[in-house]
Amino acid sequence: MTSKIEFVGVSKTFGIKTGGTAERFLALDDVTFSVEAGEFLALVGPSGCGKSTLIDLLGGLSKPSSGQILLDGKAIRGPGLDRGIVFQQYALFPWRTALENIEFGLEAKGLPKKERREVALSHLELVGLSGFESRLPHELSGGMKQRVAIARSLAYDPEVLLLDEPFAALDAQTREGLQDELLRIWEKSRTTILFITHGIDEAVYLGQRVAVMTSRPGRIKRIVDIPRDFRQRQEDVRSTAEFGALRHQIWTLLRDEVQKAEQQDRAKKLGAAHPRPSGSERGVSVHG
Amino acid sequence: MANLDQVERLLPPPSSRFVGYALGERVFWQRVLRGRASRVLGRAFHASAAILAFLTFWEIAPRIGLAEPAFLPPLSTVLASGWELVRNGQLANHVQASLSRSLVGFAMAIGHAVPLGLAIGWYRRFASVVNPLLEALRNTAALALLPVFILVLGIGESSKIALVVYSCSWPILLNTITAVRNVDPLLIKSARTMGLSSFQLFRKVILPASLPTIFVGIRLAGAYSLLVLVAAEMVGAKAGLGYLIIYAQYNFQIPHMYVGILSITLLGLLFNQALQQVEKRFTRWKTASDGE
Repeated sequence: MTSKIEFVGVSKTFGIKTGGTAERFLALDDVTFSVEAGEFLALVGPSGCGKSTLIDLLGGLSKPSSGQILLDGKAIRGPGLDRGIVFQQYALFPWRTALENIEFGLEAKGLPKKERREVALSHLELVGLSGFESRLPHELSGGMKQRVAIARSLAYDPEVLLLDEPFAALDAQTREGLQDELLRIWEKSRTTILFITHGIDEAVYLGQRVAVMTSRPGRIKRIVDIPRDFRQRQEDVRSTAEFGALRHQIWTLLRDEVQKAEQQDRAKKLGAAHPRPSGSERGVSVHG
Repeated sequence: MANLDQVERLLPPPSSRFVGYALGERVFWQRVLRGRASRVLGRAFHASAAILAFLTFWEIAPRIGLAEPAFLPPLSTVLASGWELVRNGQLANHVQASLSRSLVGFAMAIGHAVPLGLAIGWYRRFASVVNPLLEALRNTAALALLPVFILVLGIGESSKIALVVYSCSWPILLNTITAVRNVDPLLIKSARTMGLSSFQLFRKVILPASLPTIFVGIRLAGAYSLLVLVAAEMVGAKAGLGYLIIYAQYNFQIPHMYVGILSITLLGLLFNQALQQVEKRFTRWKTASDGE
């Protein structure tokens, strides 16, 4: 297997202004890992660990401060249809029907109208929404919206599919349904998937490997292998002892990071409530 | 109707209504009483009750000496002279004069304010340059500029149309700027990840997402177009509803004056209705997604 995505020593710093004084803020620090072709990699981390920054970098929406991100061995230069991104908040265009939403990327790709329609219809079927072609997003449930969003990203046949906490806004039952659906689609299409989540269960259930990130600044703490034969079983995998053990392993890895993140957060909030006396006077506008 | 509303309020929320037999029965009778026809009638009455009361008061007040009939003739007198103006074609003349001015001005305002607003909303740098000027102009009362327009453009049609264009431009311009600025950043992000060029992004995301807010501005402008026009016609015109009103007052044809006023009200209502229909067509996805 060859690496589809490679992060090589990727760091990202932001300049943020807090009350007049510019500060450097390190979001990602020397992140190095790779995703194999056709692999399903889940990435977990405490909130604010730079998961979304990572997606932005991969999506080509921003550039790393140092290091390189390679897709098929070539550095990413900007956004493109070789990567499909699915967002937590669906990001469907509300004025477009389900079908037209799926066609969006195909329009950008320059496909003729008839072909667009065919591809879109087949992808709507792939996510189990045949018959919902002409529904507007507000006429769909959250789970259906996310199905459309997934179909939209898959329709233009990207090399990799990036999912940024896609099921976080859904209720538990819908989430489990969509997780299975995603696995089914992945097994069918064998697209490389990078799945970002803060749910440990979700990561263990979906990923072939689970990468655990540290709290700010984000680094890869460890990558845990999920045994291959493990999810081919028919039974309720989540209730097996193996699942529990893996879950606990990742939970332990994350616990320290979550605590650290909470401490950082508290310190920041305290700092905002009592601005340092040396700072300039208009410095109370720090946001959390 | 009012009684039923009270019953409605006394009832528990719909989910728990069928819990007991007694409640179920109540709901049943309520449904029977509330046939579709009676509901429509009820709503129509509800909507027009205040208007009917007002018109009745207008009719009666001058007759029982609450108002001086010479200054406020009864509604029936006003309607009679209105009918007279309709029959001799005068009213049609005035309406046509006003309507064509305001429509031309309104259309011109849309034609330039929408593109300008899109540009200002989209190019931040352009916005920061022109914003102070816009802010100053916006706070200059349109009517205060009428003498300037008359000086420059003469007393003919163009100065009146210019005034309409000027005052219609502001709501359209400002709403368009706001619309472009408030497009959901996630939609822009999502479109950008699909590698859309700036132009495509603008055409496929910014523009459709902005339409509902732009329409709010257009509807406001529709109302403004009649408002300022009437004022302009009072100052210098030979036809138009504003002229009719002021001319009738000078000549003490008070019923005619009220005919003019009522015509403007009706015209404004119709204009607004028409715009609302157009708006609905273009922004169906929005009104529905707000979920009332």
